[in-house]
Amino acid sequence: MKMKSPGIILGFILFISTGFQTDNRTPDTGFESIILVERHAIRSTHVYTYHEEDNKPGGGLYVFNLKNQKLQQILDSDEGLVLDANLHYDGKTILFSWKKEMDGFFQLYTIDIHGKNLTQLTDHPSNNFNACWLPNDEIAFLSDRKPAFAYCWSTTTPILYKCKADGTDPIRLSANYLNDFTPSVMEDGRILYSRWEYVDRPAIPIQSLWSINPDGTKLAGVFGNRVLSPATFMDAREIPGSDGKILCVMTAHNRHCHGAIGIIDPRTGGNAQEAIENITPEVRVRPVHQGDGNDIHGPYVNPFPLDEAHYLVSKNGDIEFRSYDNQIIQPLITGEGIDGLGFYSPQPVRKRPREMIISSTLASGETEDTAEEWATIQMMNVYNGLPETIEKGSIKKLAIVQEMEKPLSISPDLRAFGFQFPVVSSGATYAPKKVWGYATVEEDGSAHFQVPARQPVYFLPLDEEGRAVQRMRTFTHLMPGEVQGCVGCHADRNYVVSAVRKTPMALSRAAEQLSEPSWGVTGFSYPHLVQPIFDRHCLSCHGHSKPAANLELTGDKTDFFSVSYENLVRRGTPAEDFMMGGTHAPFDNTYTKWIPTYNGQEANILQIEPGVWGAQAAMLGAIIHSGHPDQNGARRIDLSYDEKHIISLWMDLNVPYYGGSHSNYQMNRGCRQQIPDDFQDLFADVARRRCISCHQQSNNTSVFSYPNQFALRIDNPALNPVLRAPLHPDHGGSGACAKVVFASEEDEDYQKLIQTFDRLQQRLSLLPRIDMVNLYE
Amino acid sequence: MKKSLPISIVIFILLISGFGPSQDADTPFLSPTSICIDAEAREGFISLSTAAQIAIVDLKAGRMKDRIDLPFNPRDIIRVPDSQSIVVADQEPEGSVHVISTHNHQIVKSIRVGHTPQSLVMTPDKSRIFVCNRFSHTVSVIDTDTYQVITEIPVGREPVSAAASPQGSWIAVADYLPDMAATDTLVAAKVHLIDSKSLEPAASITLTNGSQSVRDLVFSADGCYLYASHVLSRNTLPTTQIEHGWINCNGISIIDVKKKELLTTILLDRYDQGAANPAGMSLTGQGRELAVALSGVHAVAFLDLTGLHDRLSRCSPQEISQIPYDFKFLQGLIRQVPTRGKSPRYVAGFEDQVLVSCYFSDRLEVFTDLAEHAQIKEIALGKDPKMTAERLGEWYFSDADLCFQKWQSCISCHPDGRADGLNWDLLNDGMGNPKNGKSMLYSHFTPPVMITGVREKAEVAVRSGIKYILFSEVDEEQALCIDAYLKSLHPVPSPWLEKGKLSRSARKGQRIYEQAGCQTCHSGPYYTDYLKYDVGTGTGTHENEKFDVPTLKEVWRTAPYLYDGRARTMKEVLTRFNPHDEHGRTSHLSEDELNDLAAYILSL
Repeated sequence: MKMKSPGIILGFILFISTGFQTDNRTPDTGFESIILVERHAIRSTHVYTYHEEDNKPGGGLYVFNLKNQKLQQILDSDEGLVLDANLHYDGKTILFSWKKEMDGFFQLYTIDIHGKNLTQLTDHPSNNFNACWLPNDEIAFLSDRKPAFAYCWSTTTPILYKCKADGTDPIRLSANYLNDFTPSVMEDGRILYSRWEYVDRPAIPIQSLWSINPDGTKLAGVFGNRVLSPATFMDAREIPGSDGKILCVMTAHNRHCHGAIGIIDPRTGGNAQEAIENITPEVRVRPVHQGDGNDIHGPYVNPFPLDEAHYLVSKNGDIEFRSYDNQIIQPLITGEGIDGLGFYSPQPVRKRPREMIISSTLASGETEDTAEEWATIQMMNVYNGLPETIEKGSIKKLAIVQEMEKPLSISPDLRAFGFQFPVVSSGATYAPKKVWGYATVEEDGSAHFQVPARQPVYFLPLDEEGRAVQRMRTFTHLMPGEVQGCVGCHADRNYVVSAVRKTPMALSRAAEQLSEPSWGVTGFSYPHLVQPIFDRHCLSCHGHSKPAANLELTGDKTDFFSVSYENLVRRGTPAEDFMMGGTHAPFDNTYTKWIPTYNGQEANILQIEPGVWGAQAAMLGAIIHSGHPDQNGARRIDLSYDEKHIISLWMDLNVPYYGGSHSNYQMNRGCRQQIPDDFQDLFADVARRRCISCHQQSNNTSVFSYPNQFALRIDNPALNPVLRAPLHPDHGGSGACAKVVFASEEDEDYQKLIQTFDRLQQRLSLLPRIDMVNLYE
Repeated sequence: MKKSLPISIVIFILLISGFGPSQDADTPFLSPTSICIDAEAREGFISLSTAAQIAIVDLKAGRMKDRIDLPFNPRDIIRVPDSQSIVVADQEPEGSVHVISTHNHQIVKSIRVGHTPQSLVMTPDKSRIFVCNRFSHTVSVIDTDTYQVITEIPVGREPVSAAASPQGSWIAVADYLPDMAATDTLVAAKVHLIDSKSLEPAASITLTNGSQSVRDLVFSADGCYLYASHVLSRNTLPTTQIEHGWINCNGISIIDVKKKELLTTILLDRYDQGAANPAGMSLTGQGRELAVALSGVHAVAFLDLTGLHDRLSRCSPQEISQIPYDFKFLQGLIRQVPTRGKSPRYVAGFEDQVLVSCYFSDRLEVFTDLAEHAQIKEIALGKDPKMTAERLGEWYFSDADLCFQKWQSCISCHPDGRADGLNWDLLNDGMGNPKNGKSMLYSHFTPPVMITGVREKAEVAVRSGIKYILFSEVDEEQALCIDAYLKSLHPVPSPWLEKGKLSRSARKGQRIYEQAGCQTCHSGPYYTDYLKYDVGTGTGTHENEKFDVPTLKEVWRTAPYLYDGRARTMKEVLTRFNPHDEHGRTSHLSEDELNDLAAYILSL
């Protein structure tokens, strides 16, 4: 054990600032010393990457005596990085996350406050960190041992686990497919933590507060799952004696974890502006309905609520004792600033009462991965929370949908359609979707059904034609054997279920097993489910040749997708041009009314009125359900219920094209793009020689420099505008170019260009892109 | 109140440290309950409800100045017009109210009323006293000039609270429990309005579905509204979870007195924390606030009535209809102040203070500075003996601290260790088959337990209740104490008895009981043979199912009947729901014989 040089210790030097009441007394903290982590600030690129990025060695664990100003080292980490620390209820045992060597992983350790009994708890080839004690002496922590990666980045997505006090019996509590953050325990025994998610929403603004029971049951939103700013609520702890108020960091998404400090009162409402009090007002946090939450640049991290009036916090590595009303701001110890070693995770050394121990209602052993992976949902009234305009009795079924996680790490340099790699849609859903099946909704709106356990699932209420009446745009997960009741769709959690006169009909019968979709329980693949319906019913008018309304619905493959998908989804939107990054340009896709998830589209998270998105709002939805009548009112198509439902479902799943994240072309743009070798070079050369006289400037950043074509057809390549437009009309040219460039297909340049596609097709026949493999056979 | 303990409990008491036999074993627990403050706010009278005493507190000096010893355990107290005496209810089966001199502490007069008189209320002109006879289901009216009972008015089920409107027009009386068949679509306790002059019942107002354990009534200062505190059970839902008030909420029903109808029920809970078992209420702050004892969470809630009625006045009818489900409705209008003692059950506001009596405490708490953070002063009322396992068990049984998020305690569904009259869909026998709540009386001595006999013995059920209904980890020491408490429950003598004995009709019924074959199964000291039978009562998924034979002790108190509570009365059990004589041979009995048989069974 060594004493720290007193040179960096300033403790108790009064911070005097205009507007703050001066107070030069020793703060009556009620304790003598605090534990501290010393480390470098972790200036990660995002709030969710601190376990991997900008990790530097140095520092350790300390106890700082407030009275005699002595800083006593209890663990030296010159070669490694201590990330965080939490003191046990006994006031003696520190639980901490330590990357002992910088080429290793974070693992959990304990040590007593005198620096003795160092014990390693976890030894798994994964990061294990952000641990907290549970009142029954188990430990909740984050781990990235389940291989999953951020859809829009390359880092792992650690999620919530728990284990015994000695690190044994790890149990996964969370089924998030993105990151969970910083668990702590509330007085009523629930684990409070944050989670990142983007079900059919842009990726930046939603890092919100959630609670879950220590056995992994009863997941529930606490605050901020539909606010634009701040983007992130993390490092959250309940304020003792405050009637459920929460102290937390409020910060951005594309930045490290330091930010403003907020007090959240969730009882005011799940997304209410009035629920947020920014107690560090010098750090600007915009209102909940403005911006994307990404412009918060504050210095504060690791707030620790001491009582109803005071808290400890690290301000870029300086530890302060503060009151929530800012009447007291006293530095206790300072570090070397944001660029050097500083202090983090301050906590008082004292005993503290244990929180309530919530009983587990799961049958013994069912928390193990080997147990039957089903749980039960009791939905009381699906209409609860939906507007009066939705007629009672109009919802017939629920589709149970899973967001499929991304099991591979890909370089973000390969991104396309925003930040998709592998590409799943053209900037709509990030995740492939798996429909587990359907549950019956009774006349009174109740439903009682089984759902797959430990999966991120959400529910689509369907009308009698199979269209979604409302979108959930978030997910839940249940433990095996769990029974969870829900009040309804979009119901305010400040309401108790209103089934007071009669037991809901569905609860008078056993939980229903889901009826599986006809294509099986696997990812929803557009080319294999939707395209065949177009092939059967639409191609006589919307085929290759002079398609009606200039809408070709063939399944010819394009560089990323297929022609029908390009026309129904991408065409006429900023997604024509846009392949990488974000855009603020408005999207309004008439055909399919998909929800854009590009950065810059954050405001759409607030558009939650039913019927705004997907099949109920889309022209394609109207056409398939009306039978597409001609001028005389005669139906031109007659689709079966299943066919109509599949097309509607596709729109309501937010137009996924690919049914999975796997790819045979992980090194291609978006892990999908197929452009013939040499094509771009050849085309640039031809264009330079033969097109530049007309096409003087580029307005297209997607594929090509000059011609106005947003997708490249790889089946029937001769139909590509870049080849048809310059071709003589007598030889099948479209006449779109003002002058003929290729007199016939025999043109040398034409031949060079078209032959590149033959080689591509040969390669694809050996190693197909996954939309060319029938997933359902 | 000394009770003889079964030997197992004595051994248990000896085993747990700190709870050895009390040095002063004869000293009873005080259990302060009702509070009466004299008109000048100089004195307070507090019932010490298990110590056969009334404590007299000097409110100005803040100390107890005297006590009155009684031959009974007192309940409500009122100060009568001459100010020289008080009137006290004695809670006895052969119940009386007693006029007691405050000078010499002697009983001046005893007036015989009904079974278990508990609540008393006097008209503002002090001419009449209304006495709630809990198990007679009646209200006795006493003329204060003559101290004679003028009349006895039938009300609903177990009236335990009453209030007089400030102008004196109305006496309100609350039923403690619903009196419907549990299979009815609306099952809730009622509040009755009685014209204080004509003594005619003017209205019976059924509270929001699931309202039960109505513990107090208070009129607003202007007499326009009547507030009733109660548990609001969500028993139409299976008990799969407790979050969001899924099992029990806790609220105050507001009755529009002029319209004589229920306005709405407001929730005292917050979405993630219950306010279990609201009990006594009192106006404070010149009637601008309502103090509500939250007995299960050991706190007093202060409700801003001005703000409440302002908010209500701005609600549309549709919004009003949603208030019973809205945890946010009282946001900003309510604050909670924790008590020091456990289980506050009565509050009494005077001037700018509130007196609070906590049942498991030997002190009276005085809340002052209500406008700011309430300060609490304590007045010793005596000294409780050391806690026993039984007493601890009674505390735990009523304590929502044992429950995840404090939504409820055991008494929320088992008031007084008995049943709430509601059907509940517990998960121990599958889902979608709600069953009528059972009394805990003798459940430890009549295994198996639960209607389906699914639990081998009551000890298992107690621990399952903590785990699956309170959703908290079982503390075995607490569970043992609850066992001890429940084993200590004694039956209350039936109101069907006459001077403690079977009536003539019941004696006839006793013979029919044997002839009809009732005693074949309902036999022995507890009127059960501990077995299960199919007596043709099962319907739906329970058709041909065998049910546990319940004890018939105190069955007069546990209506409705049969496993799903479909029979509102015992007579219905014997007739309408026994068409094939499978549940005793009753079809051949005459009307008189049926009445006699029912009278016997209800006398047990």
